[in-house]
Amino acid sequence: MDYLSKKYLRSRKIPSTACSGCGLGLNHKAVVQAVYELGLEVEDVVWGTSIGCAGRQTFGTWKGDGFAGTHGRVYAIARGLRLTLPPEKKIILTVGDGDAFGIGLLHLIHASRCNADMTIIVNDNLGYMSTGGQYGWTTPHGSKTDSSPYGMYEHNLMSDGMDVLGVLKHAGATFLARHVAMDGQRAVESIKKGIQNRGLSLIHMVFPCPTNFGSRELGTRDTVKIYEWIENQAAPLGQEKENTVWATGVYFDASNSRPEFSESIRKNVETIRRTAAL
Amino acid sequence: MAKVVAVTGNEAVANALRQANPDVCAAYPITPQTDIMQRFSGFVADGLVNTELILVESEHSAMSACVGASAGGGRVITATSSQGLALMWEILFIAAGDRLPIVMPLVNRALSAPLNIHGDHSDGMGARDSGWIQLWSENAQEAYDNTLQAFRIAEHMDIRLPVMVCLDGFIISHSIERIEYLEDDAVKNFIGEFKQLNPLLDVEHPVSYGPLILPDLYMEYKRAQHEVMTKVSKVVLDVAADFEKISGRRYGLFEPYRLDDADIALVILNSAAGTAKDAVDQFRDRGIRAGLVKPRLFRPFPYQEIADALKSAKAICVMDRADSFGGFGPMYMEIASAMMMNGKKPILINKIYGLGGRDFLPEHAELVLSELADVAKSGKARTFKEYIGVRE
Ligand code: SF4
Repeated sequence: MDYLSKKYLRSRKIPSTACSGCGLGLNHKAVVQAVYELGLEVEDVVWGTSIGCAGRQTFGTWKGDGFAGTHGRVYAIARGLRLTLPPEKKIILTVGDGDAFGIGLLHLIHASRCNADMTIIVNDNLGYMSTGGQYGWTTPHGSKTDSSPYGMYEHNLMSDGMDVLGVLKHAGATFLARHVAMDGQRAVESIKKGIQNRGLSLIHMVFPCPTNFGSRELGTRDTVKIYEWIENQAAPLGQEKENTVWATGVYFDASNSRPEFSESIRKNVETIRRTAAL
Repeated sequence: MAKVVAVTGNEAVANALRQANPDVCAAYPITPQTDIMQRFSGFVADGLVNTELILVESEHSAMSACVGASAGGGRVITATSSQGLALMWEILFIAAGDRLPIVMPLVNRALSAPLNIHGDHSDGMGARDSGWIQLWSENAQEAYDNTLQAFRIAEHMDIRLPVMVCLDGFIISHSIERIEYLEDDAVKNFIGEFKQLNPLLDVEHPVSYGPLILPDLYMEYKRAQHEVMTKVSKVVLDVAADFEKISGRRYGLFEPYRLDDADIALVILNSAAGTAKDAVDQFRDRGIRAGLVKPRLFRPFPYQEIADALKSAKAICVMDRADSFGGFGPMYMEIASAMMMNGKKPILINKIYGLGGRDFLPEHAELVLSELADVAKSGKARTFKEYIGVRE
């Protein structure tokens, strides 16, 4: 266990119960690294988790306050929490792609609409991997999964020129970035920017799942193979190649440009109290 | 000719769904059910069924899609567990209120919080009042058989109600057992063609499903819903009789086990009933008149029949794998009501066991039976509600 995990994470939860070779640990590490580089302490952050691999492997790892939400509802819970927490407390959520872009998308859109201050790291293993590997809303076209043995052909939020980050941008999110787990410090920098934005920030981070995604799509659980497969299809924004599925870097940055949800409520309630005859 | 196979509970249920060849299936993954829908989507992909498969983004949407497809006039299925059922809750009532014959295997799993993926009955018991018919299954064979019978019950013209088929998460869903599969043709003949009733797709005869009904008529609708429930037991028994003809396996509203002349009895659902039967046998061997009731049809509940079956018992323990916090376990409350029917008053105690997949072992059943023997002798209960197999 390195210094960072000792400082911020519960020793009995590390290593997590993720399969060996799972890339989720890289994302987890990037978040903790970002927290550290911003000089935040354990008590500065409330950490929420969701369901599935992303939820299960990060749940209860944070030494400080945390909560486990039901599937898709973490954004709604976090909005409620945002209203009651002191503004300087950071809310960080580590969730999965099914949670954010499937079952919880409506809550996420409304959290974006009102620009509620939270930083969401969407750990994307390209489908429903904890239930055995069914395709989801970011599964690349043509991928073989348990529920698409002949290749995924449904429209989803990352196909035919559609991009879920575009949906969230138009919904009102103020910081959006995309990375793959192997992006290292570049991902850490984006997460730091996300945390510093007083508003809704979301970092979409694709990570390799050798157990259920790799084994179906590539026919092997060989960790190196799925890492290479993702790496080859990722490129920094502006340097995309023909086969690039994930253009990485900051997708949209309007940090601190729009009033934040809880701040705006407090301010308006204050004004109403002063002016209305209560 | 039946085919003997070694399969998991989930696999057996998925095979029953394949044999029923539904028109529409709405699927969403959740542990420990995923495997059923997973296998079923394989049947769709391989062209073994004529089913439209809709992969939805939540269980709320899954049940909504089922409601739409069923009202449209098709044979419709889905499957779920735990939080998935909890998320469907709003639409469960609509499926029942609209009298839609949807069939849904429920692989029983504990409810959050805290998060737990293992088997208990809190999900199914939570849906008790939704208006769905519920069949509970001890093992994979029963889950398979109940699933096949569920279509007949749901689609019966006197009934037209949704049916939930419950089986224990992991203990049954993921264990491999010996199963007898019926031939596809035998199942096809048994279930029969789906018959439409007031389908939305019949544009010549427009109908409305679920419109606003205010105090002037709402209660009449609910009264009618109660009325149809009173007809279910008979249909369940008729269907079981037909099923026996093709399978040789007999089903009732519940299973009485060594109950004639029993002084003490357990009432227990699903897989744990299998464990408890062994303990009952042991007590019988020792000359203690023990017996057991394993309910199968939980909604509508066969109060009178179960009261009659338990008539000789002086002391009864109702075992619940779910709790109603601040009350007795849900099965206990049913049995207590049933006991009023014949005006008999055995001593009735309640044990809560096996929550969140906690093992239920033969020694647990033995302890309870020993306690019951004491209660029967002394005529006094030590305590009425108690958790067993728990660290205090
Ligand atoms: S199933 Fe895949 S994503 Fe989940 S823990 Fe295992 S390797 Fe990681």
